[in-house]
Amino acid sequence: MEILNIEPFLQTPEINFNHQTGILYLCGKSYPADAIDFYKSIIDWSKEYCQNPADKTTLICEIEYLNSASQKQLVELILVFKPLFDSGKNFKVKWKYEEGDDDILSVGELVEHELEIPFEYQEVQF
Amino acid sequence: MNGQNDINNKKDLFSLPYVKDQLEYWGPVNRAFSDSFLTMGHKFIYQYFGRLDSKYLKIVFSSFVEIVQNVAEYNEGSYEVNFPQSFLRLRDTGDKIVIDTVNSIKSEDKLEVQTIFERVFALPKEELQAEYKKLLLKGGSLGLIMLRKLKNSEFEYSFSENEEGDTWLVIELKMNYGNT
Repeated sequence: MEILNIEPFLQTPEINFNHQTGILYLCGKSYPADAIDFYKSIIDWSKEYCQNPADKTTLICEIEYLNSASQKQLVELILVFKPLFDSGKNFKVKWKYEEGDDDILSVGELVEHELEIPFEYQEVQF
Repeated sequence: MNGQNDINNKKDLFSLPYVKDQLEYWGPVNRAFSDSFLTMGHKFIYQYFGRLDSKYLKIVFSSFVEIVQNVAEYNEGSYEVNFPQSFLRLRDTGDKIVIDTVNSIKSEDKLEVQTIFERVFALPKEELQAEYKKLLLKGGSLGLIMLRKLKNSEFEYSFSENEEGDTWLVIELKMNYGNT
């Protein structure tokens, strides 16, 4: 397994998922027209990671923009880690959103509530 | 001479309509085009409306993304090649920003598209969040619900037919300044 590294582009976020440290970092704007295509490799990598995860896994989502299609793909991504958390492994989501952006905050709160996975929230400036 | 001046001068020369602070496009729209157009739209919004509250501009841009991508998504799903001409416009009226789109709907799709719009628009405001949650977690198109959830704005749609029998979906979203 290799580190998943995707450079940010105009409509897509930076991705740095490190299987050795368990730090999975997603940062920036996410509004590609074809979000399913963009997130496929990330979801596939995550499924493989969950077969042999690090002792502690932190998914850091630092989000400036999120279109509706990306919201659904992020839910799909977080769902991949649900069995990891349910089996007692150390997994949490750090949800970083732009100061005052209640929409992105509420997406995180909704997903946390529905999937019963712990989220930490932090306001940031882009 | 910069590009914008060049375009404006040509519009003046040929007496074409020119409206200041407006982004307008009329032509084929697919996913690849929408990505480029929205990148340009992002730059346009922050360049021309930079005086307005940044939270408001973020809502404007997010709404613009959903509307343009809905057009692109429909066109990609309904036409393999030769995407139809669609109209996209973002403009400032002095107290609000307005997004207009017009796109061709295949006659066999009209009923389905109309049903989706009617169902979403019939939902009471207090049920929008529950519907949003359902679609987010279980699948379905979220964009329309997100647009209906907007505060301090008006979202209207209509279907029209031309003499050739083509059906057009017309959307107008008006977002008042201070919508945050």
